[in-house]
Amino acid sequence: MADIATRAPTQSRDRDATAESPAIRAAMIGAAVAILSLFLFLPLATVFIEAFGKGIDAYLATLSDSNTLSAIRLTLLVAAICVPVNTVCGAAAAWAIARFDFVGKSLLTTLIDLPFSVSPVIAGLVYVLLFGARGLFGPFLQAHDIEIIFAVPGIVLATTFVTFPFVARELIPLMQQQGSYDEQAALTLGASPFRMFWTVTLPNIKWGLLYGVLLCNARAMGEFGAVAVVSGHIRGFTNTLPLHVDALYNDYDMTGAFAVASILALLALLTLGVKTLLEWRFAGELALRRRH
Amino acid sequence: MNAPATFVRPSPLPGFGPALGATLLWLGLLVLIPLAALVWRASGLGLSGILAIASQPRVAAALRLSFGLSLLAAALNVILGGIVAWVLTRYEFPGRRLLDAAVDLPFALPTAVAGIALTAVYARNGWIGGFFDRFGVKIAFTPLGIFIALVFIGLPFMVRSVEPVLAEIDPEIEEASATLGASRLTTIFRVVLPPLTTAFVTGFALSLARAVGEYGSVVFISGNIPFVSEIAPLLIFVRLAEYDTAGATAVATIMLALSFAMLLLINLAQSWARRRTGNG
Amino acid sequence: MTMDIHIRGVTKTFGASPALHGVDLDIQSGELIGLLGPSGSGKTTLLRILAGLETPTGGDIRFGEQDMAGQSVQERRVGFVFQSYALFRHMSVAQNIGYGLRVRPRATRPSASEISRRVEELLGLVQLKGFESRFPGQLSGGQRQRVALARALAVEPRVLLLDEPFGALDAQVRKDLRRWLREIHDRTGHTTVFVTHDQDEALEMSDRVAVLNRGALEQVATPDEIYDNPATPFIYGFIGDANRIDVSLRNGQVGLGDTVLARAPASAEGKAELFFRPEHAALDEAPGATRGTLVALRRTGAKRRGEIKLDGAANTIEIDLPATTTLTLGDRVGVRLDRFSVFSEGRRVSALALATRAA
Repeated sequence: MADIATRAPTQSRDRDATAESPAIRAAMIGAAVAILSLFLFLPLATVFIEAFGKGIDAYLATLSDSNTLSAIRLTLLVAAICVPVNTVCGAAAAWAIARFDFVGKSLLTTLIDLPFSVSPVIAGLVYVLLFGARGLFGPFLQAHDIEIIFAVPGIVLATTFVTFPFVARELIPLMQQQGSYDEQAALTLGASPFRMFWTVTLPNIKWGLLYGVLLCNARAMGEFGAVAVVSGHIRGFTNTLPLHVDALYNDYDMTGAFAVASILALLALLTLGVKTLLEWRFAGELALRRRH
Repeated sequence: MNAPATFVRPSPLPGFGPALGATLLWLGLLVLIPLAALVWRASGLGLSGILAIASQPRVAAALRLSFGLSLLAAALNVILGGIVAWVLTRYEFPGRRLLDAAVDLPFALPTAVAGIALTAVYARNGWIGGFFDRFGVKIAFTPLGIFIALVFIGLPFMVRSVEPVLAEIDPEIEEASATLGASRLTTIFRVVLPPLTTAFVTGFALSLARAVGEYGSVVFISGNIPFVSEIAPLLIFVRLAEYDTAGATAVATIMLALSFAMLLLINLAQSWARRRTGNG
Repeated sequence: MTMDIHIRGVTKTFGASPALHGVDLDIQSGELIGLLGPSGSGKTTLLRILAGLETPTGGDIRFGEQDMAGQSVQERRVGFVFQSYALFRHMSVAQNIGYGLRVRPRATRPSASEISRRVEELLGLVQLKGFESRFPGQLSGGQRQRVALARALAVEPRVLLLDEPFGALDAQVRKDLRRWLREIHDRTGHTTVFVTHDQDEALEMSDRVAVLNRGALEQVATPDEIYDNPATPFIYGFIGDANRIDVSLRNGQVGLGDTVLARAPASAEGKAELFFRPEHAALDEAPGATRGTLVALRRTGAKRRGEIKLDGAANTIEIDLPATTTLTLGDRVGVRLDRFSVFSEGRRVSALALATRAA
């Protein structure tokens, strides 16, 4: 409700003198719809139209293909590892940054955001430089027969890198806004730190946390550039869903590529839906200023 | 405020040590050490080595293309994002909320999906590409296609930067301008838009930073022809595939250095503007 | 150039809810008039309609002989000072003040030197010389208020409109600025309309006060008249302190229990309300005075306030007593009303404005 009140034009006053004429309004709205259609809606619609281009049977055949299924499994596995890691560590970072004053705090905040300013391809590259055959630890890993690059661990590492800031940057401003009086009150009432966290901190930040996790998960499942560098593109083994889309596309299997893409598009729509719902329903319990 | 005398200011709240420890461990292992590896490799090449690679024609062409088109895309997004943000904050109309939610699509849609979808729409046999093809204009597999993809990826950054600031503009300043005799257009250009400058610059910077490093949504539509439509991130790939780690490292280092230099410049401009008007 | 304003039958409806119904008001040239009312009374709406910021649903507005219907806000040349001041944060003080001159079409725009001369002059008028290159973010509330006024005056407005001009200021700054604004008005002579919810502000500054309640004018009169002879029960309640007692109208008389307080038209019958201010009553031991019991006594500044339960009245009343009073709680007293009004169904049916008493 708070969201509606702040976003919708106020009803209590006519602003006749500073309103655009109906014609200009219509033109502006038309322009906005055209912009969003050209860049967003048409491409999205294309995904589904192409995916079903050869009928529902071809669509289902692609989805039930063993390579697709293993890509789904790998994508879920990667998300299942890096989302919890980034969530727990993001919450820890938010606790340290939003609740304490210490030397180097603003540097730490900047560093946490760093992965967002690094190209995903570079994110992949840095792990190749560390763990690749000619990398820093390459000879060591080879000697012990450990595979990181062109294997699942590399994909997990690169994905964790690119999704690193999502939870922390959602929680830090939210927790700073809320302040710590609730938590101090809990402590004075005799709550143990653990109890304080579960009964006071977590309930206060739950929607913000969910918001961060949601975005983190969407990116983890959809990341392409970073994992493309470290994955060996071995079908059935190191292909995530986005990589599988790429592989099918390069085989000129358009229908197949779009069919797999449609799963990811559905995931994106679901993410947007839940995100929008959170923004409408719990606007007051999310950080006010949010940058993606 | 004085700097705390101790490393951390005393607080009744528990858990600082473990929380900071976990944060540093997580940050160090996942982000700092890997990035240090890049710096270490780059320092092995030396500045002259990096510059030598940067001046290779193919590398220079890719960097020029990436940065040039990213700047252009961010510039177009100032206009497109400005229109979308204006409409979403100022007008009430059916479907407004749907449009508002849809703006974030490029954030949520995996880049590979966006890439093949944009390619399909803007290719010669696509909906929009087909239309332009009749006039002899090719979009997909040309720099124009890259430009389209970069606009796509940058648009939400602009809208989301401008929207909240636009919504907070006091409608009374527009009315004040009108009572002082200013036409609507004068009011918009002299009174409404200037306070949005910071927001536009922020949106420009975010959109630029994202576009420079963007890979997934560009690589399908770009055509990847060396010297013509090969972007810098792709060149890192190409070098890696050639086992030319030094080349890949050099391109990455230059990209990072240029991006950070641009962001720093924009930040300095922002804080200068804020100080000048005394606004917080 | 300043002019009189005629407001005739102005109505305004927002959606289904009426904000103004049928307001008639004539404002004389050079007059300083205060629109006083509680929030939601429609006072700001009326001001905004005068400015052309809102379009009335019905009725008409004339500036002098000129009908304002269809005149845009830009064409009306009003000086409007907003409650939030609405200063342009990205412009310096001088740029803010000169804005109205700079945005004129080229043909009527003064030269740059003429604009800066005018800005200098206004800075002097509002006592802000030396502040020209500051930005609004670097000014105090009172200073911003003065910049807003200078900016409005720069366009040589035909009428000056101020919406809660002191609403956002500290009590002390408000007092100073009130006096100062009155001086500016007396010096420049603009027809000025200001909106306020603060009775002291309205009574202190205005030549006349127009009291609005629920979208209708209750009374338009001088501050003295408004305070001493409120035309409606609402004004008694809204401005100053007032006592209200239930009385009855019978045979052309206003009665409280067995006591006759005043005469009334013979046509009026039934229940009525009598209003009077605490300072318009006094103790009086003469026979025939209304009698009551002192139930509380409080010190209020220079005087004491006595709370008295009148015989036959349902509630207590308050009257001013000298600080030296020797009365104690429980004493029987007689009360004389020097000024009062009696309202039946919201209409005044009887009043006493003189120091003579009704039998």
